[in-house]
Amino acid sequence: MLGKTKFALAFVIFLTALYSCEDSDALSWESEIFLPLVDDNVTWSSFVPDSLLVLGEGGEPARLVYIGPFEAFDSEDIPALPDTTISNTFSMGNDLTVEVPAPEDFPFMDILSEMQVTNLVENSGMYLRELILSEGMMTFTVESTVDGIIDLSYSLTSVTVDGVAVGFDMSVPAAEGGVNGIATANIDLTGAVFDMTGVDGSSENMINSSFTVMNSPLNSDIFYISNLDSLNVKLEMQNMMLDKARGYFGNVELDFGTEVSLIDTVPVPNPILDLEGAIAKIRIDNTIGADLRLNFDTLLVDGESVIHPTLYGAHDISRAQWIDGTLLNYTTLEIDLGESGSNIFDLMETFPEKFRMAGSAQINPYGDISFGNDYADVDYIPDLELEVEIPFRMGLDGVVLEESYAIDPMEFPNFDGRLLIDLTSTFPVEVIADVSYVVNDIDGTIVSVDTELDAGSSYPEMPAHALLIIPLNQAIIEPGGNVFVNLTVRTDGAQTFTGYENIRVQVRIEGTQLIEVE
Amino acid sequence: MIVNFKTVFSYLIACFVFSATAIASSSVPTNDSTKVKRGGDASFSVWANQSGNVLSTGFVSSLAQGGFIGHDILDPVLEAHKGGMGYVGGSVGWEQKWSARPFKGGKWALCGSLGSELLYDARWTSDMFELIFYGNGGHTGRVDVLSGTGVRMAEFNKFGIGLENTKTRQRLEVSLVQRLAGAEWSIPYGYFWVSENADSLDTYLQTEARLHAVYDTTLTSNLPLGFLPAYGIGISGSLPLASETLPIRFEINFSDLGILFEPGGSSVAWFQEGIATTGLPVLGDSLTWESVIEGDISTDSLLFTGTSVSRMSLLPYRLSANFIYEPSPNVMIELEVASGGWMPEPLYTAGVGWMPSDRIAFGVQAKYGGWGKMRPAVWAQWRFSCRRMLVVEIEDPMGFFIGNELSDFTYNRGVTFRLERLSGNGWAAKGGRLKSTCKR
Repeated sequence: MLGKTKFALAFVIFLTALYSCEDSDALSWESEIFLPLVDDNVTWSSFVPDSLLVLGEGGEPARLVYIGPFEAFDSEDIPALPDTTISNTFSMGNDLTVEVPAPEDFPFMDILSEMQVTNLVENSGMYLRELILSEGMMTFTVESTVDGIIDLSYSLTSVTVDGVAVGFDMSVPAAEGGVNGIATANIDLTGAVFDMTGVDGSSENMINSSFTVMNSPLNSDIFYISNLDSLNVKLEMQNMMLDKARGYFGNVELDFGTEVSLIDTVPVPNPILDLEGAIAKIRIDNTIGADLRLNFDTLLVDGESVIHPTLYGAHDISRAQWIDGTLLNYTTLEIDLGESGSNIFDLMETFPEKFRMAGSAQINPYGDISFGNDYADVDYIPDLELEVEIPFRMGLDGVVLEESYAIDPMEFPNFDGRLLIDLTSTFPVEVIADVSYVVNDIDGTIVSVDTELDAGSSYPEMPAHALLIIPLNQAIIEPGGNVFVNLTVRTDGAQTFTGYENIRVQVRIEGTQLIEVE
Repeated sequence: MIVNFKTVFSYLIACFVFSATAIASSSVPTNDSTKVKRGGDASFSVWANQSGNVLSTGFVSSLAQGGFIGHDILDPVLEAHKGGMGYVGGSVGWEQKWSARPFKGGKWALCGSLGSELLYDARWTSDMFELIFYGNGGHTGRVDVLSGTGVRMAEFNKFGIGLENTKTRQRLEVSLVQRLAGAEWSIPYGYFWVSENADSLDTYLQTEARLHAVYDTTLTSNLPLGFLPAYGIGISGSLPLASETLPIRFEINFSDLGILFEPGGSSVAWFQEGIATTGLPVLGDSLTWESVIEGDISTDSLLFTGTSVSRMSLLPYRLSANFIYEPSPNVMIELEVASGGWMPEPLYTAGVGWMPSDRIAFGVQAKYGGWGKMRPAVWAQWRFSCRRMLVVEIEDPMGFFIGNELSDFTYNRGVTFRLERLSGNGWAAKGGRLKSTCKR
């Protein structure tokens, strides 16, 4: 009886288990999603650097303003000391007939020397009276034929750093077996002030030095000096960067050729500019204490030569006035490139990209009329500037924007919905929008739609709006893809743009997915 | 410390045998008629219950049966999220309580309890439910609050011992509680927002998961988990107050009021993802999936995994107060409010009982709160001997007819079987549920 009961119980449990394991349908429900995918603003800032764009207020046109250097000159054009080596040999005992022991308590050489720098710009007549270096290095080498160790005390008496003469003490080893004793020292000349007027104060290119030689206490024995002994001193000045200079900079001619880019890309399609109120100038400030003569050979706008009545030829610019290292006054030369007889605005009508200028600059065209009082400071290099101001009043015709937005693969099972593309424009022109969604599937399925936005307004702000709808299903949305937006504008004549115009591109996804749970 | 199942099971068996022995010994009669010779109340209960406030049995059956869940099924569930939260919870367990004979026939008797319980609790916001089952398409522009969503489950074993007064029937126990294992996951803070025109989104999520077990891949068993029990100390007891002139009584019961000392070593994962935007700038890009994916905006993303340090937490205490009025010897009216036991809200109970004979009693109750909404409960007790009776309580009986239309609109179900032994001669009558002492 008990066995039957157990069997019945087991049977019931088995049937229950079977019922529990009965196959059931997959659980599913719909979920409605609404998500932003892309939000992008296309503005003038998208293709005109902010530094060039001056927005127009109160409905006035924006202006593209470029004021920048042609970078025709740099500090290397300012005369400076080249790498210089000065070598002197000093005999120790010309009058000695016999060898004499070197004295121990006082110098047996005490020499003042003037060294002349001779390798400045050749044939220019250049000379320097005062020089301040921003950096530089001097290597000092002494070669001795004496049999004993000597102590050398060396000083550049006309070169000071922080008001102290540049100098040093060193021991020179004894010459042994026919090999001279050699000692070397390096001196940092950063901030060094060179008084190059010599001992008499009226010379130029001179460097004064003095040195003494003594018997070194390191010697254990007495050594002898003869009329054959000598001391060779070599100064190597390298990497001397000019900070300030006074003298005569010579009659030097420097060629220049330079180019500036207003806009690197060409985002504005077939622009026709209304250049009323446009400005184009070049200006140079002569901030060095030397006369300049500028000769312009070439001015090109996007490769086209500018015809101008006064630009080409010589332009003299008087020297700046410097007193005790302070710039008191300087001379400015300004040439209006748009003056009557110039064709530059004709060349700029299609939105210029590049300006190229070439010519030469001559320093001191009238010779040494300052009697050695030319002055230069590397912080005040003459600056050749281009100033261009173009009002945003133009006609356009063509594609203003080609943009693509990646849509990542999204797991929206059994999706049924739409891709919504909102275009909002405040550009005062009609915009034709072509939108394509290229699916990342094997076939590269393309869904294309297009629309036309009416002209909007940025002042007062009245945006025009258009909505594009691309039907989507799981096969399209699951692999992801790319949305390509192509905006084309076409204007009748020149339009005024304030710079506040923008086209906003919003991509959203809306639809339902069917979620299934097994 | 890693304890295997055999060890735990042996421990439980040992406790059970000890408890049973104590009850048996307390039941041994003595011959001294002037003293309290018998033990007090004792009971052995087994229960299983589940409550919820939004997931109806019909909805759960639909989920179980599978197929398409349409808005006709989902809408009532969403509308049921009154107050913004959905709950499901309950417990399964057993408990044995006993009181021995008083010491030397005096007023105080040794008492104790023993039991195990599996507690589970899940809660979620209505916005979370709507996001999962409806999506966000229908309510863009609204902030979906995710904070407060979470699930937890733990198994507790308890052993308590204390004293009970034979006259006042006040009882106080000190309990040793063991949490054998547990797991929890929660979203302390989170929200999801898509602007009305779906041109910007803003979302933030903090979530934390804890597995109260040792995760060790070097373990030889198939499951790389080992027990990490936590122990706590609490107090349990009851404070009955009965009127000597009126047929009313009031009783406060509490259990496991105390602290659980969690050892370090629980597996913890903590994740935070924040994507915030200050709005849609006029001349800039707003926050979109594209900008998130391309990393154009800064996200605040953190993921920590590791093991916990030791900490203290509250035991899943229970606190209840009930009021009983017996207008006649065979009719009882009861009111009760209870809280704790991981219930999100207090549980209110009102009921009436009737004892048509000395051996049988019935009662009906209305319960509201806890995890669930208003539901009925019935109980019956059969006194099959002077001191012993069987009590059966069924909560929301229709809820057991799963798969039948009768249960479609139920949200709860629960059953309790309790074998009770009434206190013997010399113990003060406790009343309630029409029971009394056995005066033999």
